Parts: sequence; structure tokens; C-alpha cells
Amino acid sequence: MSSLRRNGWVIGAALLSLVLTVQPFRDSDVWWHLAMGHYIIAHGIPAVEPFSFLHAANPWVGQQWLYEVGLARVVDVGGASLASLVMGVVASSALLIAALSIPPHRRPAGPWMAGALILSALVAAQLVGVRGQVFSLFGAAVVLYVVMRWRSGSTRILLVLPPLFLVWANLHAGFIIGLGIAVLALLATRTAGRRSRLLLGAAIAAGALVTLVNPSGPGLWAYVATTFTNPTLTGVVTEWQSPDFHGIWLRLFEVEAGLLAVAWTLSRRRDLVDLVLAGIVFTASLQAQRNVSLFALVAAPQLAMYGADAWSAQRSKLPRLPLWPPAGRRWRRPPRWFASALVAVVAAGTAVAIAPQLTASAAASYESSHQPKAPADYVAVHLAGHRIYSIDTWTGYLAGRFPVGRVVYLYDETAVFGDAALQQYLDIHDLRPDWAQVIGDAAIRDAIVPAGGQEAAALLTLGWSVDCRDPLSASVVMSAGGGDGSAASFDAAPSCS
Amino acid sequence: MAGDVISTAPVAAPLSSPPQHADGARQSFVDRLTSPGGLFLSAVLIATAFPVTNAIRDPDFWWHLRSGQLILQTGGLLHTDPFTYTVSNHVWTMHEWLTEVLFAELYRWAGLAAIVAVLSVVTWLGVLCIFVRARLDRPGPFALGGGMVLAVIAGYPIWGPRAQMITFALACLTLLLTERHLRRGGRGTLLLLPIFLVWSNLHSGFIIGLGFMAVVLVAEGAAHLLHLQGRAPIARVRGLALLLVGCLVVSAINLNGPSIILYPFATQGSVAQQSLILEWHSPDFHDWSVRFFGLMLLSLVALIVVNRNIRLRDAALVLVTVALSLQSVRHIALFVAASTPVWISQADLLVARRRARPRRRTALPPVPIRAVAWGLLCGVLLLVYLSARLLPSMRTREDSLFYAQDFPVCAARWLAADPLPLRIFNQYGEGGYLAYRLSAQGDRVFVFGDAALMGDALLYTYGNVESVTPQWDAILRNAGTDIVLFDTNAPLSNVIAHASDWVQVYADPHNVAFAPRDRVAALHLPPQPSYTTPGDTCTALVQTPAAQLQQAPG
Repeated sequence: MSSLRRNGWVIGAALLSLVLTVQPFRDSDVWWHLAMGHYIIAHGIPAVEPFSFLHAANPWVGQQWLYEVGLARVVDVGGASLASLVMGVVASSALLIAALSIPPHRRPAGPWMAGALILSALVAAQLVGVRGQVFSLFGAAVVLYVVMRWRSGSTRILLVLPPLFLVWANLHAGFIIGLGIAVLALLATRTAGRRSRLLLGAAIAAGALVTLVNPSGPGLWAYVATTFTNPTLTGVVTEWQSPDFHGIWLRLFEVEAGLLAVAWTLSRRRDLVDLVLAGIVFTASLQAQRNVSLFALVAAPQLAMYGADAWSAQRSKLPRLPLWPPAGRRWRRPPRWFASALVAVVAAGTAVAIAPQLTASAAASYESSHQPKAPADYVAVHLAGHRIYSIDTWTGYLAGRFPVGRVVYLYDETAVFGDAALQQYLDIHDLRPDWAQVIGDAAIRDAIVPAGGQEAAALLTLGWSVDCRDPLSASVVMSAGGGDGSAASFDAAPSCS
Repeated sequence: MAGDVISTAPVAAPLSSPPQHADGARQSFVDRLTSPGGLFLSAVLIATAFPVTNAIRDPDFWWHLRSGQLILQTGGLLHTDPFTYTVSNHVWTMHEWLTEVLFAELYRWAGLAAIVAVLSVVTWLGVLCIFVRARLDRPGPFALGGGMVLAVIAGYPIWGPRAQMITFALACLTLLLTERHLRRGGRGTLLLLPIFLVWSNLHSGFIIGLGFMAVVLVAEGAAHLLHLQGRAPIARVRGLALLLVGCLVVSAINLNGPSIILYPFATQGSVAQQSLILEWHSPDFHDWSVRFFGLMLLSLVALIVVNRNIRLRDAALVLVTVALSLQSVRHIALFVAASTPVWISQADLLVARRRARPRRRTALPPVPIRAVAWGLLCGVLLLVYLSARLLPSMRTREDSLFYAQDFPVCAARWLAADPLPLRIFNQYGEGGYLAYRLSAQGDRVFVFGDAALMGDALLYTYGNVESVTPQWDAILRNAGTDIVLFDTNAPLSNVIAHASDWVQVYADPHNVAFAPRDRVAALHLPPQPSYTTPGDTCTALVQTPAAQLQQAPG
């Protein structure tokens, strides 16, 4: 298959994947990252956490400062829609680059690469969107491509690594993944010559060294270590928990992993680096589901390459079906213009599919239904300056809404807040024995909480009243005192908007 | 070679070649048993009994025992449950009635000790079936022993005296008989008919046995369609298909009627059960006891990928049981049952491929000396097993601190002193124990562990209270609850403690109880016990530091 036709399939698939990767502000963290971006533009990178009334145990590590500033700039220029589009393009580009990281002499036909890319996009879709992790996926894809080129004999490509890690370390702390992939390639590639290995080693060393060029210096590495070794993280952040395979999304991940294992088994040639890399990432995904997107990225090229190889190895044994061409013959190839037409049609279809999501009204509607927008509006008017308790994900949003005055509680930058603050939050959120005392000690007298959640029920027993409710986001504003303890007060409360 | 990629050929030495001396003479059983490999395997087989033996931790055990006692008392199945005040009008399918009767009879004979011993042996027999099935490939002793050890450690989160272990053992036996039939033919596989007749009355997990047979049949059918090497003769596959139909038919011969065949699917399809009951959750790989399952799973995949030589039926069983075990931690036992022989044969194949030359046989001591060594080794191991594992598990008394840390032993004792029948809102995992201890005096629980009987609606209602949604108080009152008995420090307990219209009436380190303030006087509850009697279990519980208390069952 000509590279033009093959690339047509792959580019078409990457364009189609935009339907999955262009997403609204689904991750609540985006709001505090956005607020932080604006803060950095105005004041520079803070030394301490700037939004919460909690005492953060550790200094602020601006591990995503470049992403945050970029996000703020993009949102200022084109609103949330532009940010969604840009990050969707970055995620799809990552998948495209990963798919192209198959050695040229082993590249399968376009449909294999397109199919693998789309399956990976489906698997990764729940973990992409507007979030810094997408840059780590992109960086990992570039490293995969660089490693492939290096293993094919090119050493000049290694020059890409130091600047890549320089930028990456300032965008997201996931740069460690890229270093890991490169080290694995260095250790497990037997065919490379000594000079070539030395050069890769030097490039990795230079890459590791330039990661120190960031606002926190070596503190960034300490931040990474703290995050990875924090045992309570799984209690707060779902993404750090093991996958729940009752959901269809993680079943897709399981299917992709199963297909990859079958393809490895049935194919004629296997590469140790591929096996070890996919094995490590699969293990990491079983440990923390946030790594599933990385698995999807790594699996995309392997599934295409080994799947096609396994098919060609085993095809002759399969009984012939009526639609299959006779042995030794292939289906008639489509004309040359077909690839271009395919790309054009997919591009047009993708544009039609994602355009409605990219309007300002769609973004506002999404915000209203997924974040406590109306309750935050109510608080801004009636409870300005009050300390507000909320669940960690919503507090990320509230940090964006109330970036000054230190009125919000704990959000998902747990490594900065430290274990004591995290435990204090869990005391309230999990209704541990001293939950009421923690609320009292923190002088919290107002809260925005899920209407059907345990905090709302618990606060009722303390005599809190319901100020208002927001059916759209299923949230309520509650304040200390004045309540009768009855659940009926939720229905009787006025609307926040 | 592409043709060798998927093979149904034996992955080790063929069955027709029994172990032989270097000079060609066939080894005797004693010779093999007392060889270094035989010593190792004997030790491994005894060692596998350690993790599968335990005192009772299954919260459902207690209501099974009580149900069995009631069946024996009434002389028939109970068509509605006598334990709850919420779903006592639901039709009860007692899919484990024979197990429950067995529990009751054993208990009457020798108390919990007999049940612990019998279920430990049953589980170990399942492990033995895995061992025998793995031996069909004649693997080397170290792959066989290593695989068995890994398997019982991987299954550690699941082992323990519980009805599911009967299904585990019978599933292992089904797989063994099926595999032997496909390799050797014969009529031994007809044993499956009486097995399924009994199994469908013991536990609804018989459907797993039928499912395993169906998976093997489909895989063998595909192997024939694709002309894969080493597939079983088509006549045996047809025989197995007929046998599957026969097993399906005999499974319908059940006190619950033919509907028992559809019953397990209701459990598997229940979203409420899958989301609310811990053992239906996916494995948490942050838990060390689950990581060995992860290790076995990953190493199995690696071995298959490296060897590229696996029977299609084995591959199908691995795929199905991996999917099941990733879905629910309780299915790890099925993964162990089906995939352990595959792990062993794959490990053995890898070892054989890596070994460039056959090992030289070193001269061994005479058989009598080796027999003495074997006897000593096995004797010591058995002694350690009996003294350190089996007997302590059997001796654990119902009112011991061990159970008091896991179940509401002390709270039940306190409630037993109450003269009036009570409606108790309880923790899901403790309903069975409370039913066992208190149902005879008329007390009723909100929920217990027969999730299918409870129904999704009640499970969601229970979940709303347990997770303290704002409706918790209304749900409790509308149900006519007299008392809330929950785990100390559970979110619900910590909230009710602040609710002005509830009053705490009991507390121990494991449980705390609350009653509605407006009705507490009418309930005539006994006063809070002081628990100061030396030697008493509840005194010991009160004196146990909180950090040392075990986690309550979910």
C-alpha cells in the first residue's frame, strides 16, 4: 500500500478521533488551573498555595505553570471552546504520532493503523480533554517516535529529546514517563551499536538534566516522588484507584489489552521493547486507571503492527468466507483519489459532529449542569468572603470562581496541601468520628455540597439550613444554624439562580 | 513457524510416555514419590492446605447455618424469609438448601469445628483437582509446584469456609473430568451427571461448571473448524456436547424446579449487587493480597506470548476467567481453577525450551532411605498444618474474640436480653449473624446477605441509608425501624450520633446502637453492659486497642 493511501487512512482516523478528544471542561481541575494561569500572568508563580483557607504543608510546585498560562491565554482569546479544540487536537496528534511510531518497514496497511488508532481513542477518551495530562500523552508519543527512529538507525533525531523534556517538565510532571520509555529502549534494545547507545544515553541524561530548568528546580522531582508514594491519594482521587471493570469504558480497555495479547501470540516477530513497555503500562493501569490512556497510546502502534502481522500469518488457515478474495488475490485497490476524498469526508463529518460542542452557549450549559455555577453565583452575592466547604472536585471549580480572599477548601492538588490537610478533608467527606469538630475548628459555616450526598445529610443533623438549591448541578448551598434537621428543607429551599 | 502458533498439541511430553529411568525402565510410584521432585510436590501439596484453611470469615455463613436448621425443623424449604422485616413477602429461592442442611447437620454433630474442617478439605480437594489436571501434561516438578503455590497465594482473598468453595471444588473437578475425557475418552466423564444433580442443589454456581463445559466445546468446535493441531477427536467433542445437555437436564432436578438454571443470571445481571457488595467489585490492586493474582495474570500472559503454543480450549478458558476475575474479585477463584494448569504447562514449556541439554540424573539414595525422608517431611508438614492452622481454626469458638472482632457478637448478646421482638437496621454484612443469633426470639433485620432475595430496590434503599443520603432518617422511620445497629465509626453511626431525635443505647468497639428518642422507652432495651468480667469475650473486645481490631466484613 502506498504511503499516501496509508497516511490517508491514518490521518482520517486521527481526524475522526477528534469527535472523542474534543471535550468540554469535564475535568474539574481545569478551573483551578485556569485560575492559576491568570494568577501567574498577574503575579508570577506563587510560593505558596494561593486560593484555599487551609494551611498547605508544602510550598507550591508550579509543575504545570506553562500549561496553566497557556490555558489562560487561550481561554482569554477564544473562550472555553478554543481550549477544548486545542487540547483535543493535541490528544489526537498524540495518537497520530504514536500510530506513526511503527518502523517504516513494518507499517501495516492503513485500515489496521486507522482501526487501532480509533480503538485507542475510544479507550483513552475518558482521560483526555482539557487537562495537563494530555501533554504528557503527547510527549510520550513523541518519545515513542524518537525511539523508533533511533532504533532504525537515526541518531540525529535524538536532538529532539532535550528540548522536548525542557518544555514537558514545565507543562506537566508526567515527563517521567518519557524518560522511562527512553531508558527502557536503551536497556532492552540489543541491536543498537555502542555509539548509538551512548548517544541515546547522553540524550536521556541531557533530557533529565533540563527537567531541572523549571520554577521549582529539583523540587519538581520531589513533587513527583511525593505524588507517586502518597498512600491516601487513592482515597480522594478516583483516577488513582484500580479500574472498575463493570463500566463499558474499562471493558474496552480490557478488550484492547486482550487483542494485543492475542496479536503478540499469533504474530511471527515480537520486539522485546514493545512487550516490556506494554506490560509495564498495563500493570500501571491495573494499579491506577489514569494510566489507561497511556496504555491506549502505547497499544495503538503495537495493535496495528502485530495485529496485521498475526492476520497475515494465520489467514491462510482460516476457512474461506464468501466475501473473501481467492488465495493469492486481494480486493481491488481503490483509486488514488480515494485517500484524499476519505480524509475530506471524515474531516467534514468530524467538523459537523464537534461544532455544536464548540459554541459559547454549549460550554456555559455544560458548566451549569456539571459544576455548581448557580450556587457559586449565590455565594458571590450573599456569602461573599465566607469560608466555603465543598467536595474536592467542586472546590477546584470554586477556586476558579473565587480566586481571591482564600475562601475555598481543599482541591485536587493534594501533594501541596499535604497529608494532614488531606486527612482533615477526609474527616469531613467520609464522615469520620470527628467530622463535626473538624468543621467547627476550621470555622466553616457555609458549604456547597451535592444535594443527595452524605455531607448534606450530615450537616442537617448539625442544624444547618438550606439556603438554596440548584437542580441543574444537583447541589445546595447550606449555612450553619436555622435548620430543622428535616430532609424536606431541600425541596422547600429556593432556587439558587 | 506460523503453523505452530496456536496448537492443540500437548505442550510437554505426551501422555503416552510415562516417567522412565535413564536406562528406559519405568519408575515405580514409590520411586517417583520419593524422588527430589516427588518430595517437593508432596511438600507443595501439603503447603497448599495452609492458605485454604481458616476460621469462618464469610458473613453469609451464619444465615446459611440458621436456614439449614430451619429446613431441618420444618422438613421443607422456606418459601419466604423469616429473617427480615422488609422483604418477608418475597419468594425465596433457596439455591443452597443442601449446603445449608449440610452445615446444620455438621454443626449439630460437632459445632463449627466440623464445618471448618469439611470446607477446608473440600477446598483443598479442589486444589488437588487442579494439580491432577495440570499433571495431565506431565510438567516438571518445579513448574508444577511453583504454579500450585502461586495459585493458592493468588486465590488468598477468596479462600475460607464458605459455600462458594463447594462450587470451586466442583468446578475444578468438572474441568479435570472434561480434560481427561477430551484426551483419553472413556466413561469416567459420566460422573458429571450425578455431580451436577447434587451441585445444582448445593449452590447455584453449578452454572459455572456448565459454562466451562460450553466454553471448552465452543473452543474445540473452533479448533476443528480451523483444523488446529492436537484438537480432541470429534467423537469425544460430540460426546461432551451430549454430556453438557445431560448435565443441563439433571441440574433442573432440583427442589426449586427448573427455574434454578436461570437464577444465577439474575445475580450476575444485578447492577445493585455488583455495585454495593464488596466481593462483586473489581480487584483493588493496591491491596497486597490481590497483587499475587495480578502477578499470576501477568506472568501467564507473558508465558503464553513467549511460548506461542497453547490449546485453543485453554486459551478460551483463560480469556473467560480473566474477564470474570477482573470484573469481580470473587471470581479470582474461577481464574485459579481454570488457568492454573495452563500457567503450569506454559511455565514448563518455557523451562524446557530454555534447557539446552537434558539434565544429568544424579544417583539417589536407596528407596527405603528416601521413603523415610518423605515420611518425615510430610509428617512434619502435616503436624505443623494441623497444629498451626487446622486445629486453631476449628477450635475458634462462636463467642471468641476472633469472631467478636468481625461480627456483632457482643451486641447480639445485649439484644438477646431484650424481651420484645425488635426491627433492627443493620450493616449488610452483619444481617446474617444477627439473623442467626436473634431470629428465634422474633427479632428481624433490615437486610442480610441473600442479595437476590433482597432485590435491587431494597439494596438501593439500604445503600441510601448506609451512604447517609438526606433520606436516611425517613427511610428508617417509614420502615418501622426500632433500632439502628451499625459499625462503630461508620459514617451512618457518626451522623446519627449528632441527630437530636436519635439516642445512643449501646456501644462496644465493634458496634454502636441508636433508637428513636420518642420510642426508646417503649422498646424496653436492656441497659448498656459494663463488660468488666475477666475472661469474657466482650471484656476482651473492649480492652483491645482500636488499632488492633480487624476490619469488619463488608
